[in-house]
Amino acid sequence: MVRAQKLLLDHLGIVELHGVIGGSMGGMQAMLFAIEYPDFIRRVIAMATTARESAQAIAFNEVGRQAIMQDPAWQDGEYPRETGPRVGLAIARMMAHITYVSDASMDRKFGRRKKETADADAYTFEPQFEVEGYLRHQGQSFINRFDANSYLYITRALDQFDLAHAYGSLEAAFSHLTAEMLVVGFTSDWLFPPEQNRTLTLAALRATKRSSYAELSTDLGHDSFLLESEALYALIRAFLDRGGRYTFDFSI
Amino acid sequence: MATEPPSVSTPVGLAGHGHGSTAKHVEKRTVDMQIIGDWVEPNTSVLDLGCGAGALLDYLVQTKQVSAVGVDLDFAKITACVRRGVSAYQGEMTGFLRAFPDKHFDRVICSRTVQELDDPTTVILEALRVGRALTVGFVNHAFWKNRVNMLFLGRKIRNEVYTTEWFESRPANPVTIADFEHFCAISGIRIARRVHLAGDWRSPCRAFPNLLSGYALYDLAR
Repeated sequence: MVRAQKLLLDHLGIVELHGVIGGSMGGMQAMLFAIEYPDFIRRVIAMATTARESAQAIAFNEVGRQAIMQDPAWQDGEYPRETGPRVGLAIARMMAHITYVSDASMDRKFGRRKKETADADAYTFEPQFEVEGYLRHQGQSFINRFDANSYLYITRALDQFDLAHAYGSLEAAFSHLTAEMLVVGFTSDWLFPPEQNRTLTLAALRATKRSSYAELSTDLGHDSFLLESEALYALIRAFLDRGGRYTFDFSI
Repeated sequence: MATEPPSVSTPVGLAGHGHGSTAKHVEKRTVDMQIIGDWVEPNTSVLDLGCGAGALLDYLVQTKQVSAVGVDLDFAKITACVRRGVSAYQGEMTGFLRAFPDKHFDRVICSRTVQELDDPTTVILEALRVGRALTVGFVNHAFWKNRVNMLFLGRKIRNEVYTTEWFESRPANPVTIADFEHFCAISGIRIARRVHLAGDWRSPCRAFPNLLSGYALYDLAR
């Protein structure tokens, strides 16, 4: 993925990037970019990410893949362009979505609220709780914009990502860095928990590289890195803006 | 996080509780910085435990071209360090220190932090393991004015240094020069250098430091 991005940048005639930023798998890519093309970037920001997935994260990905592959419409991946394993892909997305949020944020958003259309019959299996309707909507909207085979390959790439294994050790991986790094973890992220994020900066510091670690208190789970947080913006701005050589206009 | 950030920066925000001492605080902070700066060799690596907004590390980068790393518990403090270009890590000191091999840093600094540590022995011994030298600076709680204050008022000391009421304060160990040297003696820690400053935190204090000194700085090694 990172090689493809680099080829595109080369094609566009871009010779240097001031910063590369990414969350989750994007954080993995940002780090890999800084390791593989050290002279190409000056600053790298990795958020809610990891040097390698835990068994739990791989397990969730596997359930998603099985949902797709067990769908008869998958046809060993040879499904026609306009159809495909829509049921399996939607289920994979529903489950994955749960791992992106948190108990607290789901409870705040939905609680045990019932849908207005909920049947009086307690044992109907139409969605009764709002959270069910929400997950179904997440699944349905996903299948219209995502390809099932892509989902299989991307989750496999996530599972295979392992900086320590690829370079011998995490310190060896980061020994290639010339860019300054900032890692941000989020307290409620249970997919790529703070511990896995802080490990990145500790390894970079052991490799005597410049790296900082900050941890934002949120209750939104893994998706916290998408949060519109003034504190997070201030940190990112401080990291990218310093030096005065460039100024950034963050207004939209 | 169980505890508040052991910030090194002076509590200027609370100066209203004291005697309008903001300017004095800033001055005192500078004295601490200059002495620590004198002990730091140029182009070395320095770790500041409880780095606050990174003022000391920034000063050492400017004056001694050190490679600097700070540790603090507070997100806003880390942001301030990042803004200064100082590498900083948000988290517990003990966990941070345990992640490093022996003698990884040339010097570790603990400036106005030891009194707020949950486990000072572990932090100090770990700091001496990962650092070739350890600088510790602290306010001497046994300074005579504190003693007099306690003797006559019988209440928690409140002045320009200890600005808060007991019920507004986080737990702190009121460490003294005698206590600290006792700790070094029983822990087999060698005191390479020491500076005792008088009550003004500026002029040297030569006699009866545990009684007459307001601020103490130690340069330690194993």
